[in-house]
Amino acid sequence: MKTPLHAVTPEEIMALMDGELPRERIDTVRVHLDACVACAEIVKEIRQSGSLLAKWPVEDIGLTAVAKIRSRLSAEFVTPRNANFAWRSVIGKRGIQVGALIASVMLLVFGITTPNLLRSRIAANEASAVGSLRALNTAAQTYSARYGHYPSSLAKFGPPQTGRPTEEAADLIDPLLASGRKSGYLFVYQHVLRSDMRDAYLIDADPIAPGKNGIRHFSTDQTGIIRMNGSVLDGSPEPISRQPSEPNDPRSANHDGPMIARTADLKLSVRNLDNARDSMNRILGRHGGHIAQLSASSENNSQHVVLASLRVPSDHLLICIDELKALGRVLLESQRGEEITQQYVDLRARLSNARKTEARINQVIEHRTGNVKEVLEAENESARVRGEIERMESQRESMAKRVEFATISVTLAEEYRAQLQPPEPRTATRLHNALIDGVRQAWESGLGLMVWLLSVLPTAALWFTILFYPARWGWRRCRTLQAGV
Amino acid sequence: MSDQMESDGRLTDEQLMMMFAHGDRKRFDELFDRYRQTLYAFYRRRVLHRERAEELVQETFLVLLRSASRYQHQAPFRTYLFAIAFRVLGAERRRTALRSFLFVSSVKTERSQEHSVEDVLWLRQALGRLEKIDREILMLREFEQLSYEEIAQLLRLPLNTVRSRLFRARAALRACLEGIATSESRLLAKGDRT
Repeated sequence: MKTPLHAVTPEEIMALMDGELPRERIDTVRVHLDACVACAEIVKEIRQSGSLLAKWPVEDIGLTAVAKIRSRLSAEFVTPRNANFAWRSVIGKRGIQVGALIASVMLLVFGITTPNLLRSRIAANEASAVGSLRALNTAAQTYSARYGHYPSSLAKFGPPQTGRPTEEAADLIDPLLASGRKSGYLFVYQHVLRSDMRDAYLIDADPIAPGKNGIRHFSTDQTGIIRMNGSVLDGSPEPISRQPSEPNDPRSANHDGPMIARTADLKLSVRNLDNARDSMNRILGRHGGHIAQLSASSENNSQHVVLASLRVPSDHLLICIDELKALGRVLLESQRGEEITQQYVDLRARLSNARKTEARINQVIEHRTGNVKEVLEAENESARVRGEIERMESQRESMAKRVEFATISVTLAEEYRAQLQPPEPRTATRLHNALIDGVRQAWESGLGLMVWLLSVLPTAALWFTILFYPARWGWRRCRTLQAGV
Repeated sequence: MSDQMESDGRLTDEQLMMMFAHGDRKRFDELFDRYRQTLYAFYRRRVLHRERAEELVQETFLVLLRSASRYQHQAPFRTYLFAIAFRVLGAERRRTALRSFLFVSSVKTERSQEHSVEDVLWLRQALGRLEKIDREILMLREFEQLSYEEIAQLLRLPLNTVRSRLFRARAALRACLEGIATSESRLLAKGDRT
């Protein structure tokens, strides 16, 4: 279309044809059109465009469609206004389909993962049951060492309602396990008397809901062996036959009894620290014990405290503890028993082998069957083996001592008596200190804020980027529909 | 946009809408009868499926019905109605785009149902080559017979911009149609030679 420079613009010509030209310009444009051939051409071209577009007629809307729309509108009249403003109009039909698809996929994923989750839970419950049985075995040995027999019920392993541990509530396991139900398993404890008049026990662990909480059955007894569905579980300790009458005798334990290194913690509040120390020394003297380590603190304006590590014969441990407890008010008491039978047996075996090796090497040296070099090597080897033997003997002695002598960590704290405080620092000093503290806190606060912002900003930026466009779309959509358009 | 009756004694669109807004339900039927075909044509030229165009007509009247209480007699009813139609169309286009994105486009045309198929395809093709805003201005003027002022209000453009863009669109359409015709005749001539 040509756009010649004339007294009227082509847009004005077009506006004249569309009936949109301002009245005051109509005559001017008409006069120009009568005189200008080029502008008359524009008129022709515009008419041609119009006639081309007229070739796109649209059929009438179907009567069925009209009836359908009328029916829908009538229904809208019946229902309260805006009652049909639903998310369907916001998200559309396809949105619902997409939602249904996502829900289906989620259900599918859930269906696939649920059995795995169940299996994981069963495995966790079973592992927990085995761990609980181990804890019960240890607790039973400790209970037996303390009170001379196994408890008659599971509840006696648990903590007391109030006060110190007693024979009725030894505080050796957590209350949940003492109730007999833990991690989907039911624990049944039986105290039995064997034909040889030695007491024993049997503990069964069964899933509360078989197939859901667990699948396998576990059991254990005074030997410490844990059985799974009747067969010995891998990793279960070697069977031990315990003799309660001589629980910690290393020599007998080497062969058929457990070796337990016992330790205890005791914290006491005493009136007079010096008197308490004297009493403690007397108790140790009576029972053949000694102080392995001791430290005392008696700074001004603080509580006076004595920390001591005592070694007493294992047989006298309970009596010693009872006597020490009489020195003051008990703030804390705990006991532990670590079984080192296996380590001891291993060490003995290695020691025996080393001795045999040493004997063979000595034989070689005595007979001098090789050349000088070989003899020298044999002597070196003999020296090395001897060193190993001595080291292992030392370890064995140490283990035996640990079993023979129990360790009591005692904390004696004198009852605190307040003393007259020294005068406060000068006002200027206090102000100076306050200023320094204030600046430090302001710096820490600013630094903390910066650290927090740096840690949060990347995540916030990520979510902002992800959610910005959907949120804007949803907001605009809602606003459009609520505005009625 | 006058409160007076039209020359043939009928009530104006604005009067009908105000009366409906005040509870006269029958007036809405009159509005529906006046504009159902106009709206259908509006959508039919802009969406490919006849059924979808009918649904959009229904959707537009539903929105009009629901928002009647908020109608204010400030703009011509026709502009108000086409504003709704434009929003509904925009939503439809977004849904179509989302559907194409998620489910791979399954667009089908209904050539058999349209009048003079070749002409329509030709026009669709030529209009498709125009700038979006120019195309809308041209279609609103030629098919919906909106005035420059109404188009300006609807598209929120200055009046002079509407006028200049309309002129440009008409020129571009003509050029496009000539271009398409030339290329097709070349193809036909090539086909004859082979």
